[in-house]
Amino acid sequence: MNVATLIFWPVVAVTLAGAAGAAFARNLVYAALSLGASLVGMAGLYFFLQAEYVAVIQMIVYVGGILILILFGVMFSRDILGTSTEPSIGSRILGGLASLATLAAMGRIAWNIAGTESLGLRAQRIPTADWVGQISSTSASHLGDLLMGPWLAPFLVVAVLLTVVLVAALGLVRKDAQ
Amino acid sequence: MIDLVLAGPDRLAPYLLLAAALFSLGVFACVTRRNAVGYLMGIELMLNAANLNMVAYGRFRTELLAGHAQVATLFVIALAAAEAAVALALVYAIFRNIRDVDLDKIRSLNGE
Amino acid sequence: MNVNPATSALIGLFLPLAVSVLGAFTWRRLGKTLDLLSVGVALVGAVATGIGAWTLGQSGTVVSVSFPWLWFPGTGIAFELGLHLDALSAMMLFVVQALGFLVLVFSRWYLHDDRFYGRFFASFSFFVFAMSGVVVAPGLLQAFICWELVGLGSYFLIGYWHDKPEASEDPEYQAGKPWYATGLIESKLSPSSAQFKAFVVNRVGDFGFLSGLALCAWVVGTWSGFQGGDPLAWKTLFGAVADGAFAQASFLGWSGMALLTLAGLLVFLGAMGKSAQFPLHVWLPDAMQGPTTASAIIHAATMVAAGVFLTARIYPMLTPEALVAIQWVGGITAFVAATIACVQWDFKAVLAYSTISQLGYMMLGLGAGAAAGGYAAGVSHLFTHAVFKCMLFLGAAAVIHGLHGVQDLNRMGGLAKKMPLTAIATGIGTLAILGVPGFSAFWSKDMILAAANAKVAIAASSGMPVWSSMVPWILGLGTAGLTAFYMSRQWFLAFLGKPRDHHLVDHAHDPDKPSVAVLLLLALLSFQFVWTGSVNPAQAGSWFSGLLAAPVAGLNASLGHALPEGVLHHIHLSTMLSSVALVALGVAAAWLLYLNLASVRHRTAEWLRRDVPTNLVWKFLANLWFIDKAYDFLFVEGLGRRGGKAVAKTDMGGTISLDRAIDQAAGLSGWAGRFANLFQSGRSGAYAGWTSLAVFGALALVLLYSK
Repeated sequence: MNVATLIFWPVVAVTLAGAAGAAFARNLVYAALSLGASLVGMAGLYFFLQAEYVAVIQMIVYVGGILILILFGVMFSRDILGTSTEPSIGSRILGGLASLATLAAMGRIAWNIAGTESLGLRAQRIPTADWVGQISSTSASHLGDLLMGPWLAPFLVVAVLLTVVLVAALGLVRKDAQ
Repeated sequence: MIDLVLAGPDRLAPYLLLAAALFSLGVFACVTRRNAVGYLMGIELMLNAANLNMVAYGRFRTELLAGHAQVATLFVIALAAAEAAVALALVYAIFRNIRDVDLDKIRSLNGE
Repeated sequence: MNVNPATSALIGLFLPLAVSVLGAFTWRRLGKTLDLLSVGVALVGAVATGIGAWTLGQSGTVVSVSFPWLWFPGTGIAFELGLHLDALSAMMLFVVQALGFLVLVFSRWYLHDDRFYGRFFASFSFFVFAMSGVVVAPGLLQAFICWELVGLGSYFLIGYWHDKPEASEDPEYQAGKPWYATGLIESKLSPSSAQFKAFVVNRVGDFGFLSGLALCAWVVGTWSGFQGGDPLAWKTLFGAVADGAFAQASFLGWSGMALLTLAGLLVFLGAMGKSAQFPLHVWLPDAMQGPTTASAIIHAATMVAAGVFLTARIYPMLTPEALVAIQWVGGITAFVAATIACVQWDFKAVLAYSTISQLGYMMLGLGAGAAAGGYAAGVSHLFTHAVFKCMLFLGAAAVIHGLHGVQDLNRMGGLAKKMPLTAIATGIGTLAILGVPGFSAFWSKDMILAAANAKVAIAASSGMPVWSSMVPWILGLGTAGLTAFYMSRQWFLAFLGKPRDHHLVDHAHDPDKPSVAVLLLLALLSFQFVWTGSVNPAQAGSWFSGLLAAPVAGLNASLGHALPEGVLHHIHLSTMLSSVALVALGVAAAWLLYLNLASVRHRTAEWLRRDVPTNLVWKFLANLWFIDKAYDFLFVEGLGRRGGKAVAKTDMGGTISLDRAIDQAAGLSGWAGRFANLFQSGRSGAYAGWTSLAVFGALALVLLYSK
């Protein structure tokens, strides 16, 4: 067991615990903060997956942006302590069943994969489309090439979308909108 | 000498299991939260679980396409940011109209 | 002059789009300029596509230009957008553009003092663009995309007067409502309800279209002979069908041929939605809430024609079984709509149901199969009907405008003296739709009936059950008589006899000169010689016939062998005679009931009020076979928002006393509604929970119990 593995499991634990806090904590500020912990943990996992650029973006956008937005939302919803929005028992049962079904379905897939991996089939390399070329690096510059290459059209569309979202969000909250 | 390159377990399954757990927690949050912002947190959890799956599959199953998986993840992050902005603007607009963000009181989908 | 057909099609496509985009933002300010702009653009489009179609017809080639826009890496699949112009699509494109131009000219008069004036021209141009996109589509995917745009365009046009209240809350409607105006759901009768209804009903069809499209893409895309490219392009798709791509496929125990039938029928379900085929026809009569001139384009050359056009397009992939289903749907639609049209008192409603009925005819013709001449018949009727139905709707617009919005046939009468040119034009249109010798539908409708008849003979000789093609044929013949009855009834009631409402009729007048010119031009095009190039009504050949050659693929060869010439001739002759006799009978009945013997007409009205069996039949028809009410009850109210409460609220029980059965059905659907209502809490969280429980629960079960 090397050092990396020693760090890996605590990161997983933080991610999981944070997510659990986001889902269960009654106090919404705690929920938002533990969501933050989970997001940071996720960024750590991206490092383990050798997706450094994604990890950085995760930190900047999710932790730096979205989390702040959510905290802002929590502040201004009147029910920070979650006392007046106690979930009903029915919705708890429904939520439990739905999340168990989700866990069962996705866990089963992971289980199957764990089975094949324990047979020595780990880290399979599947030869894929030819137009990707020979580059296998996932460096930021390579991601930039991809964004400006095959992903150019979606990239532009997202740019337009973000502009539209900006305007739409402003329109929704402008003063005279009733 | 300590290997400074962080390399997780050389297996896909732990990531998938973790993503499954995150996703189901997100589902639970979405169903039970009556506060619109809590609902939003559930959605963010689910999106993150999907992102994790995508990057993990890219890393372990399609090494040549790992970059593509990561670019797709970047798009999801961008869309999640957009979604959070619009959702919070909506929450704000609803709050201004009915002075509440309790989803149980926003039931006009019921047609009543 | 030679114009590249592709260039002309691009002009016809994108100029109207440009106008609509411009108009969308500026119609309030541009208003009166926008109409001239869009009329001018439509004229350019019509001329360009006309020359393009002519050039294409001269050279007899097919122009196909497309570029890939949606790649699926690693599979070789790349979907394409572009143009596919053959005789059929070039001609159809020209008809769409030309009729669009004529209707726009007419609309300038009809809507001249409307408050949304400019917006009509913007929406209309968009609609023409979308329909042109369907027509020139090089494959199923573009057809589907533009298909949805057509739906959007119709949404704009039908809901043109979007702020008009529901009929039940409209004092004007309630004041002018006669006692026989029953059967409509007044609380859901307004432009905004109608546009919504059209959209939702079309979703049902589009669900089929999309599933069929996915099925085709999957089968062709995974077929071993697939060369890459667009699996849904006509050439690839039909080539794959002919080379047995489906024969090699199987899915969930379905054999390849069953899959092909399924794919054809699923796509046809989309056509049923757009072409208002039973049981998805309910949106079309409601769409009359839009401006009448919009109806003239929606219900003549564009939206409803899109379904028939698509069915003709996918002809090479329709199996004999699919064709039988299409023929039945067409026959039932034609008959049901014709019976309903017989009791309508609203000038436009008669035309609406006659449109549905005629569309049923087209499907009936197409379903007869190429060997029986059904393809040629259905396509010819598509074109001839587009012209005369466009004119009939424009005539209706002239009448309604002249009477200041009154649409009740019972308040008209004697209009021929006040608006003679309109009367002549619509009279010719009526003769055309009746199928009187010398007029266009005599040629095309008789081809349909002859094809249906020939199909019976083919079925008999090839061992298929005879009744399967006998029933649609008989329904078609019956419809011929009914059509004669209701169309001549409409014309007699409106234009002949004495005015029944002097105050109203006295002020009526013909439209202005350009609009009258449009009416008369379309009337001229409703004569048969325009289409067949000969005044001899028995002349079957046509300049048109190059267009009517059925696309031959492997499948069509198995549709049964063609009949010997002598038998065909005999069939044509007997069909002609019997349909002319039926038409004469229908006209005579309408003449007797509604024109000649006023006392009989009066007595008829009394029958309808008092006499029990007649009353029941009349109520059944006036309530539109209860189809609309049943939908409203089951889907809109029942499974929708109010659940069980609908049982008490519905007026179904009060309308007719077939009681027991209906009550039980009501109880059942009420129960279903209450059950469904459990899930309709309105809480978005609960929706998310039920959805994920269903999706992931099913997935978990599949995964846990599979090896």
